[in-house]
Amino acid sequence: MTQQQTIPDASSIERALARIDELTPAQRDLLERLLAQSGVDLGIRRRPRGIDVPASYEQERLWFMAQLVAHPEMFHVPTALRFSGPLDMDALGRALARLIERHEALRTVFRNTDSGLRQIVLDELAVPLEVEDVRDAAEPWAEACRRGSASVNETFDLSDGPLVRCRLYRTAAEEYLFVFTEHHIISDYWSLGIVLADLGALYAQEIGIGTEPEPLPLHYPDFAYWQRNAMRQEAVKTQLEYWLKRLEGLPESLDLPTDRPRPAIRGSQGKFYRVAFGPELVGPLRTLAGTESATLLGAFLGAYFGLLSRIVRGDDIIVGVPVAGRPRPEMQRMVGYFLNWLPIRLDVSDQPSLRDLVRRAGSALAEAMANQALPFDMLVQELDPVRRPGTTPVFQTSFSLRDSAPEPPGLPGVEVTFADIEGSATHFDLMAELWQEGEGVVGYLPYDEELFDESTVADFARWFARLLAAGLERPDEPVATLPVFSDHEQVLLHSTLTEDAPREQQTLHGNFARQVASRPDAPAVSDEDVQLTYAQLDQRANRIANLLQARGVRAGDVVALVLDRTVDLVAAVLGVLKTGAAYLPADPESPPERIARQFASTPVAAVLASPGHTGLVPDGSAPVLVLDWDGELAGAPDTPVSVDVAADSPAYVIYTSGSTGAPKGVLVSHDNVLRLFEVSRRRFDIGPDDTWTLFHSFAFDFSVWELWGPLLHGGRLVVVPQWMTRAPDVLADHLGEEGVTVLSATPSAFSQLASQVLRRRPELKLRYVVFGGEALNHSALRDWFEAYGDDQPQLINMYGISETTVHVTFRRVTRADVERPESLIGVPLDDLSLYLLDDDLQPVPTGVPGEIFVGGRGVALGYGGDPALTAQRMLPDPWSAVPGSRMYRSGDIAVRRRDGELAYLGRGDEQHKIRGHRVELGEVRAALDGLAEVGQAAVVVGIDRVGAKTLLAWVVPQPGESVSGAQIRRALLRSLPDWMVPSSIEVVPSLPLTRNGKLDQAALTARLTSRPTEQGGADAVSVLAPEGETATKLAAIWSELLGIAAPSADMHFFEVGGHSLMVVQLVTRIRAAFGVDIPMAVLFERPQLQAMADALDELAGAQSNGTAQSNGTAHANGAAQSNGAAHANGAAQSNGVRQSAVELPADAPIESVRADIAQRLQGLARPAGPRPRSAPAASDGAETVLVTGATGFVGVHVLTDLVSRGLHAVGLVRGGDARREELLARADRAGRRAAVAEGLDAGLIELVDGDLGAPRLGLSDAVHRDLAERVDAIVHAGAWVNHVYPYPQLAQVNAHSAAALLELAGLGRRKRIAYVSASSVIESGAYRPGEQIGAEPLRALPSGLIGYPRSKAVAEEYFRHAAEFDAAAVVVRIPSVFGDRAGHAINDADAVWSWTLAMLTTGSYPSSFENPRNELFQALPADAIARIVIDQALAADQPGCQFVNAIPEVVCGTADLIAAARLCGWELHAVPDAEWYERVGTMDAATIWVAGIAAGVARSIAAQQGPAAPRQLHRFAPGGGPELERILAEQAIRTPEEIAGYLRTLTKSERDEAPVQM
Amino acid sequence: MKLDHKVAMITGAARALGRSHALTFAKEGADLLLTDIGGGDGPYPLASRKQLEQTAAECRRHGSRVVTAVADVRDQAAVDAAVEAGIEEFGQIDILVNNAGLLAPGGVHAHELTEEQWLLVIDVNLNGTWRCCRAVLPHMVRQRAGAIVNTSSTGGRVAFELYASYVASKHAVLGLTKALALEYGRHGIRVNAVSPSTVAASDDLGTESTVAVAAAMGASLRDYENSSASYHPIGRLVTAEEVSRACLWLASDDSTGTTGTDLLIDGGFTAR
Repeated sequence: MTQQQTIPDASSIERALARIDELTPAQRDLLERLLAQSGVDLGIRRRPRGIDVPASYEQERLWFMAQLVAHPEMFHVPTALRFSGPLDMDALGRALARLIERHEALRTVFRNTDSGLRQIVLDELAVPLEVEDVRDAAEPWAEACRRGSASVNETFDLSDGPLVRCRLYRTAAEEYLFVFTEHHIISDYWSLGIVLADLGALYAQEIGIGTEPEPLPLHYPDFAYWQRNAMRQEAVKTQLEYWLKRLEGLPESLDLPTDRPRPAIRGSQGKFYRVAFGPELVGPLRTLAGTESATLLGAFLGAYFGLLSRIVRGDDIIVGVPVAGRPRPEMQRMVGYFLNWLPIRLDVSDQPSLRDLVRRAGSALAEAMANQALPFDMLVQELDPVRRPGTTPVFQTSFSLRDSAPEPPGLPGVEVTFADIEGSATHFDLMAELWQEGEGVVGYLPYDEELFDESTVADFARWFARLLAAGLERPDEPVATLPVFSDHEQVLLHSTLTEDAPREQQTLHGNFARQVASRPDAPAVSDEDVQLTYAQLDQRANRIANLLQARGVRAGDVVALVLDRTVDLVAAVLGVLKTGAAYLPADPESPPERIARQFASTPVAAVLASPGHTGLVPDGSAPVLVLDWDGELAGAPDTPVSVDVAADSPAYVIYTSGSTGAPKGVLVSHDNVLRLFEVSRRRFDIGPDDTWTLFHSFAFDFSVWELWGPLLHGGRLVVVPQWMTRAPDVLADHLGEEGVTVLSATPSAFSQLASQVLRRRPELKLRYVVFGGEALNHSALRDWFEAYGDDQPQLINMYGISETTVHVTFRRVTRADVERPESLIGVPLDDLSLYLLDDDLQPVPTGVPGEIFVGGRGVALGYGGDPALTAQRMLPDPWSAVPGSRMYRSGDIAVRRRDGELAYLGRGDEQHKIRGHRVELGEVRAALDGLAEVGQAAVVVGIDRVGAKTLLAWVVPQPGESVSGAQIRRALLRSLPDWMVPSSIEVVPSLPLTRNGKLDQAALTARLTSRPTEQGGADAVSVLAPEGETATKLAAIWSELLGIAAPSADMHFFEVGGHSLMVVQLVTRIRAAFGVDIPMAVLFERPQLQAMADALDELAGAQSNGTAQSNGTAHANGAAQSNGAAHANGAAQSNGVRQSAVELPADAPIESVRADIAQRLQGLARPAGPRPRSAPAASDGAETVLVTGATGFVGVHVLTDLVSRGLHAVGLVRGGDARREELLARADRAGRRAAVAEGLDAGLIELVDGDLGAPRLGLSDAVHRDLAERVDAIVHAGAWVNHVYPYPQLAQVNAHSAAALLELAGLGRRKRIAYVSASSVIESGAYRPGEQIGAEPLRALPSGLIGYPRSKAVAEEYFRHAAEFDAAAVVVRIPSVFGDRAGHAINDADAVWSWTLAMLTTGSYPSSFENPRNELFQALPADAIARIVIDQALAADQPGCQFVNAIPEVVCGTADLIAAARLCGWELHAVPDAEWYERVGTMDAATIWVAGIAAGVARSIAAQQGPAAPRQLHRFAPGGGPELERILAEQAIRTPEEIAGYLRTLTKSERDEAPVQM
Repeated sequence: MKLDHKVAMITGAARALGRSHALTFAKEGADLLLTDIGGGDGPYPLASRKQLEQTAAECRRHGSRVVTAVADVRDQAAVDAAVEAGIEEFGQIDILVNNAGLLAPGGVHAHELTEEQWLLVIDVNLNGTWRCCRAVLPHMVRQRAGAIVNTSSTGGRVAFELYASYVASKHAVLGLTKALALEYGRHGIRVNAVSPSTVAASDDLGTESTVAVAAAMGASLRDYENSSASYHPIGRLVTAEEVSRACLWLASDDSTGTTGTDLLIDGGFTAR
């Protein structure tokens, strides 16, 4: 179509508009679009008639949230009013009805359709005024409030409405509480004002003193229609651009200092904390606002940002501010959900003052207001921020300040005031909802009580007020330094050794010498081969010292040690110290390049190396001495050397990971170490009887503690050989053999060791286990405490830092800690101070995380040769009384909890502890960048399979380079210690970046979770394919929604682009594909593909159990509305049967099933004792028999047989009497129409509406009672015959319904029950092929993919409880139900028929069918079965349960089936089994339902066994008396001719059309 | 590298041929599950836990991830536990080298062997090989891939006097190898064997077993090696590395066409 673009003139617009309502929606759409393009704003107009209006963006989000949260009542908005005076209740009721009529929004409901969420305005909707008189209550008003509060939380049905509720409680003659509750989706704060005003006006008119309010031309759906169409407009696009720019690179979330970790699914409704700000604050703030051109809202908001800046880490903060969302005049009088959110973002990194914040917030707010037309939810969709389950996107806290509180409605003659009741709450973590009241500001801080304690929110409120007060006093001072927290709130833990007594000048080796003198012959140190006494160790050390001196080593020098872990390592350390030098440990296990770097950065005077390690010393670095007692050392004297060594001279230089990419050497003095033990002795009882281990590398400063612990106290040191550190089993024994009393370990090393100790139980003498080096996970100690208790040994956690000499804190860990999820680190050692400071070095208060700073005597000398770095990390300690004191900035984050415990939270920068070692990601990245093949690299910390931290790297190769992850790993190992080499290195074409070009950490982490097991090179990792049909189908849906070619099984929906609105689509598509309503919460709880598929399977089970729809799909039921674990159980609950936690797994042993059944039956009423058998209640004296499954293949015969015997038959049928025609048709086909017709005439047949899958069989109370009173016997023939579904899906209908039948039997008249079971119940491994099965209970239950046999078997187990219900039960196991003799109809629910159909369709059969030994079935016609079952039912007499096998001995083979087919003239040919089953496996399961089974057979043939051995059936002992045996013998189907008789019906299309259901 | 991303389980990995295999595989990029008996007395001192950890430490130096496990191949539960530990760490096992073996208490006529002595050799050499296959095969079947290398011997091809139990066990290993090759070929699993002749002892790898053989013959290690060398057309004993390279070939994707076979690394010993 060609189109000339002209600007329409005013008159043509007018004409068009006049007709606009007559246009079709498409025409109107086009017109509006053309006008919009021409810049003509039509405004909001009445929507076209008869169209389906989508929900607005706002409604869509709210609806979504309401599906997701555990407490959707958080979206109920209550208004409580107190009426005092002569109220006309009738008039109020009428006014209410007119109010509903007046506002379309109040009559709107919401339904999710394939094309999205729709709002439907009902023409009429009754919202009654429910009146309750509580005047008789002890405290009427309190009672009314209690009831009113409870009413707020009553459920609203979003799809059927009403979404408004009104309660009036009369508390006195002229006193009422009126509670008006709306769902937020149809209302908002502004609407409330309209509604209340209208209610008042309508009431006035009803009592005759007002006038009719003006009718409303437009309603909310008109707005929604306009919004959905208006979004095309340019203005919105501009606003979207504004917001996207404003929110570029937004922070993932605001880390409010919560008291508890955030749950994945929000389970709370929220609470309020009341606040008030007096005129003394509000007045000056208003003034400040004035000078900074801000509103009072802007000023308050600025201060709120100030508060947040003091309590969160991070200085990019977003706060949501609600706006009425009614920028157009047409919207002003509409009722509905218009509320919109403006995400206000401020940068507070530059230490702004309160004045700055007020100005910034004011202008940000003004800008935002100018761009408020864009619905927040549309913005979220466009932004697509990283979503974390349990948090709201973009912002987690909100702030509002209204001009005034809402006005109560005016009811003539009645005084109306607002009343206080509980209800509703917060949608965000923390909100501020304030309004002006007089000269002050009052309101609430609603908060999520799952995250915060009330006392915490109270603190926030107090700090807010203090910040305002201090900030208003000093508006130009940085908010960061305002006195907000009181002294006792600040976390400043000062050293308890306040006196600065002069310390003795001592050295480590000097103290050691005292031990040598006092106990020369005591064992000092041992390794695998050698044990040395103190004297011997001292001699060796002396010889080393003498040799070093001879080689020119002097006090103040550094001597590098490249030594194996033996006793000589200890001698060497002592020898170096004796010369006055410090030692530099270079572990030969470290990569050569790292060692080389240490040598390069610390000048050493000499190197002591083990014989094998001299090659590790870079050429030309220093003279190398070989520690070999047969070499140079042989000639060195063992006399003491005499050197004066100062206490503050360095004892060692230990390298720790550096953030700049290079490790840095920390210089620690003798005194630093000596005082560590001085203060530790106040907490530990250390002495000469102790044996310590040297477990850690001497390059790790934990070894300093291990070395000197024994040597300074006369104890013994056991050097653990390197190999044994990798063999925790051997080490466990070693601890016992060596009698170790003090063990120091990183928590991860201890965890390995502990599991071996617990297994091997060596005899231990351990007194202390000291943890250090990484965060302690208490729960990992559960088993240890179980076995060893709290005291023997004592477990001690010591947080530590190399720069403050090994340990900083001390905390005894006890069994009680096992439940505490955090790593608690205790209190600082007595001579240390510990401060938690924020980024501005201001103390944080209790509850707020801060960085750990440590001051006191442990602070090391500094970094060797790097005064700049020393100055940067070791700052003047402003809180110390000792001049010149320094504090070390650790980079670790901790928080002091309200109970006073210090909890370690992690690294504040990029430093991490990996396997106990401190690792700077920068250093790892630098090493990666240093490789020639690597172009770009990213490193993150992930969590490995066992929950430990691990490094993961992504590498983009240099152009033209081809490199594998494994190659890079190997290259890294040359320069980095193995703990610094990422466990996974993935080679990728590019690194993901954020909008503003930074590395997208979140996207990288998302990749992590979608990765299967780690292999050396991540490029080896293959995609984990989804398993199972559900997962495969679900993967296809994901693929479509997310645009991912092949989603892997462990892919995480929300990390690969899924977002909340996509969830709605996902739910819709899942319903279409699987017929299952999946609650959204489940999608959040189980976001991985495979887990989601499993959840679907569980739900499908639960939901079909609940309703057993004949089409095999399920509708939403109780289960769908609850969440999580309750699903599988929803049905069981609804059955009125005592709740059992979950459906047992489909392979649970029979004993468990029996226990489960006993439990499920527990809650049911039982008759007090045996009841007399009374005459039939029917007037004709004939018995009444209840038949389940009356329309089923067997059931229809049972029903007709009963009638032909002159008995009363009551069929339990879904739909009840409405199914009579269908039943007749079936009976007709079964050749039994006459009998039914007869029954009809005689009134012998009756159909009741019931449902095996429903509570109490779906019977109303009255019908249930009636049946209990008049039924004499029950034939339970109903079952969901399905040979594809697994057990859980069939359990409710087929198995647990037995409970409801037993319950019925136990009530009223005494009853007999015949349960129609199946021969397949013995299909378990417990019965040998061919074994004869007795007429007795089962000894095992079937398990496996097909759940039907198990479901029948479990029901048998129920009936074994019959005696408890005073019922005489008989379980009748029947064979294949082949068809019926009377009508030669066939039963196509039977497997044999399905196989036959498959044969006929393919024109072939599997060649193994020719084998005459291959048995196929034992079969009876349905009419014979009916007869047997009724006979058995009527004969049963004694309470209890008997078993009858109604299974003929005669067996037909597959060869008989082929012969029968031939007799019918079908030419079939043999094909190999594999081929045949494979072919059938691909057929349409709707026609050939065994297709699924065939596919399985095909797979198993292909996988292994080849063609199966001939199938052999079991034989059954009848056990039902001679009459039964006679029928079995006569009625068994035995010859090909007989089979052919049934087969012929196939060609005559006479078989039942519908699949057989109960 | 030939074994990048592969996980190999090697039994008897603490010393000698096992250690050599482990190092060879480590250099070729494999991650390793190394098992050994962890000490004890046999006809000669059995490999210690320390030796196993030393092998592991050396392999780690080549960049491999290594899991060690003490498992006597006579103990199915221990073997299963080792395999589980490997699967837990790596998620897969692609290669199994059945190297653990025992040289018979030698120099005894067949009828003079006690039943205990006879059964010991059969239980380690034959049953042990089967037990390890039994533990690993379900994983390989699941993976639809795998390579097993069994260790036979020239004694699996020809007989030696006075070593009936050893010779019988090594012949049986070849039979087992072919049977498994036949059965599991359709699952993508290859099963082959190597048959080394006497391997030259080396200090790096440990010499205990060769010393024991020599001692059983009443000779010193050096005399034994010298006299043995003369039976080998190449004029020397084969080295452990030569055997390891054969294993590597059979374990790697270089030999995807080969299953059910036996590679002789015997310096021509059986050629005559």
